[in-house]
Amino acid sequence: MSAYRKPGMALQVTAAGRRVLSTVTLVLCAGFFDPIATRDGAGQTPPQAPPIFRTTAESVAVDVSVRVNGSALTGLSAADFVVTDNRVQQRVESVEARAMPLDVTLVADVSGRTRGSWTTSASAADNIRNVTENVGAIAAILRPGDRLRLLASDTSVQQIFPMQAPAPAVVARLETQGLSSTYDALVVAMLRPIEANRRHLVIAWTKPIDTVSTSDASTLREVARRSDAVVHVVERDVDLRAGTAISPGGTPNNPLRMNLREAHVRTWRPLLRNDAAVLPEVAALTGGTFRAFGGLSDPNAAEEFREIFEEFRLGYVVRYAPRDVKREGWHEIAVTVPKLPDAEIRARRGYAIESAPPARTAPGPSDDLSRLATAYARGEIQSVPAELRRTSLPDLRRLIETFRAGDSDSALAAFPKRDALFALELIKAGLAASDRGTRDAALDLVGEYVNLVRSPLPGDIFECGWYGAVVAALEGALQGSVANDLLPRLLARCPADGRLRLARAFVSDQLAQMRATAVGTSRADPTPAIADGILSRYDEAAKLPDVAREANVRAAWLAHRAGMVDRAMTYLGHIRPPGNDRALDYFGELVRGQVLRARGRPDEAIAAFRSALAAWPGAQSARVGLMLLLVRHGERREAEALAEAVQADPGTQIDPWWMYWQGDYRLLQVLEANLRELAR
Amino acid sequence: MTRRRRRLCIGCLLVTILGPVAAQDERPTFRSTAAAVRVDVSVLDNDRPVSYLTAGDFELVDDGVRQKIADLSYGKLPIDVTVALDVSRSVTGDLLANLRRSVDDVRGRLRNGDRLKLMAFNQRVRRILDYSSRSADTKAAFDGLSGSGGTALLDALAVAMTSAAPVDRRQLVILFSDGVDTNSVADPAALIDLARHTTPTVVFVGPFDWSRGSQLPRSLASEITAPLGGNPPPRNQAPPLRSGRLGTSSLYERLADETGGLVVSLPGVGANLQGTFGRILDDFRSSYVLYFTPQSAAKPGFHTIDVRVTRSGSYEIRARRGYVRE
Repeated sequence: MSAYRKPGMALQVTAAGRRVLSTVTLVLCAGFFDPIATRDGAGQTPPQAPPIFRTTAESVAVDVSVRVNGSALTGLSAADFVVTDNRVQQRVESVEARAMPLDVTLVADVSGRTRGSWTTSASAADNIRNVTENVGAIAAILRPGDRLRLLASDTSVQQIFPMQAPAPAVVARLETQGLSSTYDALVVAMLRPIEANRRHLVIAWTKPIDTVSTSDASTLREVARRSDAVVHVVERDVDLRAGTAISPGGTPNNPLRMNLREAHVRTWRPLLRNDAAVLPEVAALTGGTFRAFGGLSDPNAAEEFREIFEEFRLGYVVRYAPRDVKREGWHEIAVTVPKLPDAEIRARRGYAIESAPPARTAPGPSDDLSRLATAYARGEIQSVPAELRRTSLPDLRRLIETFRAGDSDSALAAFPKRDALFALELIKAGLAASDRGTRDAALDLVGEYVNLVRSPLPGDIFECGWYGAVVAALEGALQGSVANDLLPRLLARCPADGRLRLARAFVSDQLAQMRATAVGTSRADPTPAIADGILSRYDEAAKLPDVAREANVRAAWLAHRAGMVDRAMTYLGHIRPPGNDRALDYFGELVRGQVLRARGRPDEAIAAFRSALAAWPGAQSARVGLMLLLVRHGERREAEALAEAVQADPGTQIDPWWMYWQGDYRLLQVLEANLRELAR
Repeated sequence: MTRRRRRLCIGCLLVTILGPVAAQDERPTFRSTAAAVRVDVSVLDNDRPVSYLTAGDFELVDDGVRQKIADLSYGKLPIDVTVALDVSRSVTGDLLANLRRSVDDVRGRLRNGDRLKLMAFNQRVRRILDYSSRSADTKAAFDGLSGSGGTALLDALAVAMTSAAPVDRRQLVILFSDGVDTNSVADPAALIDLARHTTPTVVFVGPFDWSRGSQLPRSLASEITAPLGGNPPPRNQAPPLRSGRLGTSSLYERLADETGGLVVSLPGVGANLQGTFGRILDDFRSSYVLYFTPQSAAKPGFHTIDVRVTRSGSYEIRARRGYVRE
């Protein structure tokens, strides 16, 4: 069947659908849907609905399979079918046999063994071999003109090869043994638009565990309701779902294996999705089948695929023009063949058309939000932060909560990257608020968008950049504990991102400092034991060239504060000559001056403070550091002049040292500018 | 008695190495090896200032060598008062208003020749009222303040102590803060070193138990042995002007000790604050200024000094720990 494509109507954001569509649109931007549009940014610009669903205002097409006694029945005509749309009988305009070429998406869950009972100790080589065999089995069934693509689900969704002519494919590279993101993979698969005169079949080869998907069961259902694809699910090792088939003592034949399974189930059960019915439901919603196999009864891939294709090819496409039914909302479809009361008939259960937003009578937070979002969508990005700064705290909190609830006609729905940047503006404004409620609302938004910006593929430049920006905002707001909780997940997505790696060390440093300050022991320095753990993280960051300098500067300062003078000197020795980051040059010299002063090398310390002043003229901290040493040296007049300069400074510039404990916050504007370029 | 066994309401021993005692040079010449030394000494009897002593009533020992008092004055030298106010995020609202009244109170107690300077600091250290400002400017200075940002307490103190200190004037620094430092580049060791090289007497005031804050490095803390017990007083009691000399490992007490100053822990925000600044100034004013020229060839570096009153009686004497000769 096909859902409507509503002419001239963008995918309307409703309270129920906004979250789904936010996910959907962000996923689309990851490159699965339209790689060209994503590369050149065109996906951000056209103010049209993403062509997710094959729809027309006039016609609905429904895939129908009819089986009698287990066999597909052919030769039926339009007169044989009765179709109701929301219980209103419709006039069937045509029935076609499925001679159209097929587009097939195979979704292979490789987060564990792909044959036999699932464990995490899968061999990548075995998985590659098994997936290759499955691809070969499908390729052998497909016909000329059909196409096949392969998505693999692990910690990230991997497109192993795009939609292409069927051929025995060599799967050269596959990431396995990670976490499972089957829901995301299915969303990606179902969102593919159907080209004219083609059909789309999705076959998911999976298990009942999903641990890291951005999409939840609700999202999956909503996408299934709107997708043109027919989804068949082959679920292996269904015992994992409930554990009911697992005997605590194992089986007489293989007690060890069962005990191992027991251990795995105990480990993973907390991560199982609560909604065990979602995959069968997704299959039913789209008119597909759900095929379940226990841990000891491995499905035969070739046989399953053959049955799926046979049923699909021998089915019908029934078309009708909806009449006497309300246009918007969910349309439930029922297909029967009256002359065959005992026939098994399978068709999708319905389709959805988004409701228009209700008219409002008085301006409220959603109106303000819509106005700001519209301005942001138009590229008027400078006006939005200024207006947010002027917004009163209660209104700001309401704006954030309204944005989270999706109860707004967001002009950003079609611009997911700008939507993510707009969320970042709200996050920044909320984190800077003086009341806890607004800050908490901002933190909730952080938690939500950390998932929403997630690309199905391994973190792309926008996703990782957005993470970097939001971590910088958190560091600037001294929310190190939140950043500390997030960073392992973010680094799993963006393992090569130097700034995130450095942030992992820095937020630990910041937290230790804040905890000391919180108990009233100002300038309480970390113990060597605490410092050692943090230094090891700085050491890790220092291996990445783009952040090595800063990692060594911060490590030197930490080691100095912990009394690890020799180690501090070692880190200072690793700091390379000045680069293009003036603030970092300044940090380096300032830290060098302080360490050398403590080391009893005043002349070198004076030189370092003078270098710091050269790097950042007029900086208060450098002046004070130099002043202290000059007093000791008897250079009283210059010291007094520096004291006077500090007191009389007009305050037109900040001292970067004041932002030392705000980490990458000093870079936030640059990070945002980079993101805006990507979102343009 | 030795001054270390005495408790004073307030005491100030100000040490400056001068040129000739009667020198008109406004700037102390720290490099001079033939310089005279100026010492401020506060003497109390039953918590009341003693004003009847002469040079012959004092015994002053420099690095174990008894020195001859060349001159003495009492209550004559004009005073430069620097009030440094912490206006970081934690010092706002009613407290700011209370501080303004306290500064007005100090201004009201100034005498001819005395001067008042007002500094404010969060992470930025700035002068908001100079010595030459009119009293009417105080309101404008406070109107421009708002609590925000981090705190560079130690940097602010370093700047206040390093500011020009004319030899014909006495210097008092009153620093008000909640005791938390987040942004300073100055560290405890550098501050203690600075205290030995400069002349101002420093008094710390704030709603904070100054004996807890800013722990010293162990090597510095071990130099102080006498414990300081007790907690801040109840809100309805005036805070004691507590001697810094009895300090524990707190940096602030140590700095007060080095400069002959005090720590004043307020029981709460605004409690009895208005009278506190004024009392600090009055107590500072009620002290002697002794001058001596080292009798033996003085070695460069830090000199410990000890001041006693030879006249019979039970006196409480307050003095700084020593001075640095270049």
